[in-house]
Amino acid sequence: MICKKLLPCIALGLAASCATFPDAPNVALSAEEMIEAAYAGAPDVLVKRAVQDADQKLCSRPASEKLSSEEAERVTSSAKASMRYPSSGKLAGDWKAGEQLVSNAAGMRIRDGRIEQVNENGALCVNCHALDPKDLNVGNLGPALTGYGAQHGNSDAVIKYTYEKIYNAWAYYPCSNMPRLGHNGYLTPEQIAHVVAYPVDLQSPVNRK
Amino acid sequence: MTCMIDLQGFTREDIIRDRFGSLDKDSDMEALVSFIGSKSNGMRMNVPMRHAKEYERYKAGEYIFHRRAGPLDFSCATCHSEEGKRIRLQELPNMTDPKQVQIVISTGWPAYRGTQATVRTMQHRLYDCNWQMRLPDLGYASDMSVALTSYLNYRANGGVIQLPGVRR
Repeated sequence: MICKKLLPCIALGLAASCATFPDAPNVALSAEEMIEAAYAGAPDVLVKRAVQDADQKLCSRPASEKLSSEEAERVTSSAKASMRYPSSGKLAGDWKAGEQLVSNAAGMRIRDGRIEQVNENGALCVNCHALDPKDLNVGNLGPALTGYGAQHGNSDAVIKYTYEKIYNAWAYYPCSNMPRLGHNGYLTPEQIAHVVAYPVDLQSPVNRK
Repeated sequence: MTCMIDLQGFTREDIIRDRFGSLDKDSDMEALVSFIGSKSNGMRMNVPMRHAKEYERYKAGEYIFHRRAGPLDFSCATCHSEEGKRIRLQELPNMTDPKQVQIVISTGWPAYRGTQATVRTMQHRLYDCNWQMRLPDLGYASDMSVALTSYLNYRANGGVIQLPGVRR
């Protein structure tokens, strides 16, 4: 054991042989204390947002530390169990309503201890995905979805997959960067159905030639 | 801030009230951080990592950088760990790339931010990311913010300092 004493260990810098100091549980403990203190003073209901659920914890590792297959299975199965659908049973709504939502990135932000009020939470899509080929003001953190419906069709299976992917992306891609928009209560099932229609509906700008 | 409070007689509340300027009123703290930062211009970033507490803070910063939380499941790494990524047209620095960390830290903050029409500090940059992540207001100079800054600054060692920067 190389790192019996503190100072030689630090002198070795950040070498892998020193991975034992400070050990991971202690790092987590002290970091969690810092996080709690950093948000102290905010209303409890807002502070709760910073508390991780079990899946967020599993998904918080550096990219170099892959999930084991059991862990990945745990994340996907809890995501699948989280699915909720619109009471109408219709998983694809109105693409024009979806169009309003996909480029709206506001909602649930906190300033000076209060939630910034908006009419409805936006679906944030174009922050990360290209959708309408004419819209160039789009991000690329996620894959481009231009021509999505033209490419994949609009079968019930495609619609269900698209709905579930938006509701809780981790059901298909455990620990994906994509937020679990439905599961986290950020979008309602009805809103998600409208968002689904936007890439899937063949009349939508997403599928124009 | 420790010197300002212990030796000069400022209160923590006064400092925090004045932490970020507005269009109506500049912030003394933003001015002070810019002045002090610019005094290292031309030198290389050289953050020490000799004391156990420094290393503990660095490791906590690494943990926080990857920690996903909030209604959008974001961590710092969600947006800042891949090459060539953007939110809409805004390019995102990849903070896992040593060269980019050097540029962001040694020539980035404090910076004049065009969208804010004033000079902002790293404390404000972290506060603003935290706001986008839908988390509660990040405490000014909180240990959490210092841990994240330690993690980033140490990894920027070797970068040539040129401050203040200019950012969107």
